[in-house]
Amino acid sequence: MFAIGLYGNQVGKNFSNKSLAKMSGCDEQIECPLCMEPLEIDDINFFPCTCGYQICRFCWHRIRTDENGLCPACRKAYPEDPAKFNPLTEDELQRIKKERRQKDLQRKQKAAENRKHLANVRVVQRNLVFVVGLSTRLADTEVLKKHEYFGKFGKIHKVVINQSTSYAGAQGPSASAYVTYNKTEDALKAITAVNNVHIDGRTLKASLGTTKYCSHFLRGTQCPKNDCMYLHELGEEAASFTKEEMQVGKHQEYEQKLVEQFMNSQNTAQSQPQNKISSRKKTVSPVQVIQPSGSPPHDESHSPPIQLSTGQTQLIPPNTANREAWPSLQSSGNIGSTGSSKSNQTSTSPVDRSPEKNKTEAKTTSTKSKPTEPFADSRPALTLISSAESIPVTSSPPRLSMKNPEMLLSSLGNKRKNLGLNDGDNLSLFSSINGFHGARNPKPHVQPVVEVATTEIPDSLPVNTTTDWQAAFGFGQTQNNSSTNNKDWLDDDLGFDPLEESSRGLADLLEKESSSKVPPSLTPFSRMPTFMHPHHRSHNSLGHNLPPDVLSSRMMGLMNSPLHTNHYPESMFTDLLHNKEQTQYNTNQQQNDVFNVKDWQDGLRALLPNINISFGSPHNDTRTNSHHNMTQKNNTNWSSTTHRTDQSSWMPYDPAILTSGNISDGMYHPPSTEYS
Amino acid sequence: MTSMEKRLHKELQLLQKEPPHGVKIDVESIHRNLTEWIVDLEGAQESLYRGEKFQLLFKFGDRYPFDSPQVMFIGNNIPVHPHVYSNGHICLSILTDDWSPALSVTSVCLSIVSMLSSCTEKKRPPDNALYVKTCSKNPKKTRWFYHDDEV
Repeated sequence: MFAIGLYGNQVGKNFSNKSLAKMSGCDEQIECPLCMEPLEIDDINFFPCTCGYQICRFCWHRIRTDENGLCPACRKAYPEDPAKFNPLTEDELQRIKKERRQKDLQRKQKAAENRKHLANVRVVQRNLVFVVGLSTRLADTEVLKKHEYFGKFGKIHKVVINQSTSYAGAQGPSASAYVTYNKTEDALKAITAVNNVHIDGRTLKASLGTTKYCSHFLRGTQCPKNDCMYLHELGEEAASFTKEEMQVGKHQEYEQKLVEQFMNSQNTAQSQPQNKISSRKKTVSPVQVIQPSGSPPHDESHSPPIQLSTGQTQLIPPNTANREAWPSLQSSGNIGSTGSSKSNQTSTSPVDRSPEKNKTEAKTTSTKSKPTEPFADSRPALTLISSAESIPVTSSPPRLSMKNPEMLLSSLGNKRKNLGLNDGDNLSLFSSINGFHGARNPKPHVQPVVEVATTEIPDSLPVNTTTDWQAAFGFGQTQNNSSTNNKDWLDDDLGFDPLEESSRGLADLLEKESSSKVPPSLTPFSRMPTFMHPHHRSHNSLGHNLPPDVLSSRMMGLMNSPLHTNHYPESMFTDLLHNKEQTQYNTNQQQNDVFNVKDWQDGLRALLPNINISFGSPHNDTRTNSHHNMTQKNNTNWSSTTHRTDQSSWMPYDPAILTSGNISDGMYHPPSTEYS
Repeated sequence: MTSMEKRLHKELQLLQKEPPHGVKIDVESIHRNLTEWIVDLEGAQESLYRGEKFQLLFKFGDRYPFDSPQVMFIGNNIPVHPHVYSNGHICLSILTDDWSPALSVTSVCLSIVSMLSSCTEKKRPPDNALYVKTCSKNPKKTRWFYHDDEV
């Protein structure tokens, strides 16, 4: 085409040379102005053109072979040989290398200075669980890795035990441990499940652990350790806290956030079933409403169900809130019993519903009788009930094993369930602890009620209900139940559940029966309120009767059943003693009964080796059950008959006992069919 | 990163850091596509184009810097200049035959500003109408005859 303009080669050239010179001057390293690659050592003295314009040999070759062969700067053709090329001598090479090394060193030192402030920084690790309060028995890497301990929550990368007891506090010598999981969720799972759990006489405290920066990293050097657990790269800003911040608890806030996020994600997944449960729970209300008494104390007795309804809407509170609300509720006896009672209820539901109805009756009666008692006192009675209910558990070991996971879901249970722990975990330490924990919480009374509702619900649902109880209880018991709550609850109790009617009828029947009975004054039972209520624990009464070591061992046995099977006889014995007092058996018979029970238990164990767990606590119950079995082969009408015969006399005095007898009878049914 | 990208990054860095007077890089356009730059030019103070603003489009090929980029005016304001066609094509030797890998975006911009500044009369090239009708979109495809050494 036609073209007009010819414009200055010269101008362009001049500018270009200047600017490119600047470009290459930016870095300390000399770069080829064309390809911007740093010049190699050999290129440093390479000047292909007489004008002195320096390019790398790669570009030089390219221009000469593929391009126009002109020097980019002066546009002269490159001569065949480079205008100036003095290969480096060995000395020069050494010098350059040394310089480079020094520069490297300087750079690292600079980095080290920049990292100095990190020495005081701790970074919360989302996959690291820090546990405090481990007994010496547990303070072992391999033990903690086991599936029944921290191994159950997920794959563990590493466990580090700190034998120093500096964190032990008042709990006696206890170690701490860092458990590193491969997954973040597993760590949160472990924390929610383990935190505040009571084991070996100590309360475990679990939280996300923090890590400091590796000293090698701070110095800017390579860490020689392969498996160094300290940080070698900058941690997330949000998870980094200085010591001062940690003293203020900032890192705990961070952890709390993580846990809440985690729980929310879990909850949303479970929201559907929870809704169903809420309707179920309402069925509980009728039983209690039936009660004629309108006295204030009566209202208090309702509180648990009320709490349930309110609790549904609430997010699950942090475990600590629930637990701390009930500091005094640490009873070994209740532990097993509550767990077993739950298992019973759930297990029996499909087979025979009558026992469960009995339970509801028992509940109602207990609540009824309470009105005169202060609210606090009502709890022990309920716990007692739960223990009594546990009887069937021993008699039906297989079911126990199956149902345990669910029953153990109290307090933590909901969370654990959400976390997807296996049923197989029921034998493990923490699950049993959970049951224990549940016992500590006032849940026992609530549980039976809820259980009734859950009987018809698929297995997965009861778990959710437990969560709700917990949430409800954590708040409800500590707070005064408001009348408004009560109203809501009443509103809710339009019969949704077919069970409602039957349970109501049973409750009425039961009440009639109990009222018709003539209360014989029995010393053991009259005594019960006195020793139980102050402690809010039925098992405390055990403590009175038994030497402390037995008591503790029993606790150990319950909690560590897989490890300490030898403790069972003792625990059984204690339970037996306790129950006998309650059930009004003669002291003479006690020894015989004990042995009978032992034999029976041994037999059961031999038959069902898998069912170690809660044998200890419920054994008294088994004894009674077996006794009943002998006397009555036909169990269909079991609950009412046994109730009258054995326990009618003292029932009026203590609602808890009454219910226990009732429930035990009712629960007993399945085992009797098996073994009688 | 290819040597072309590396070189462009380097040039961009420098252009942002020390932009020549009257030259401003539209960084956003480059973030979208490293191989097409839009550069804002301002007419020099002592020139006929004082106060005028122009836009240059650079398109870099894979062989940059050994091959010259496409450079043309774009936008509403194409400078009226004897070497600039109304479609934005520029008749400038360093953009084709006289390109040197030692040249850069900055140097090209300065060359163009300098070319504008040296203009004494604002007019289109004499063959503007014909060229605009027949030329390729790519100014590099034009075989230029640089017979005007004066401007």
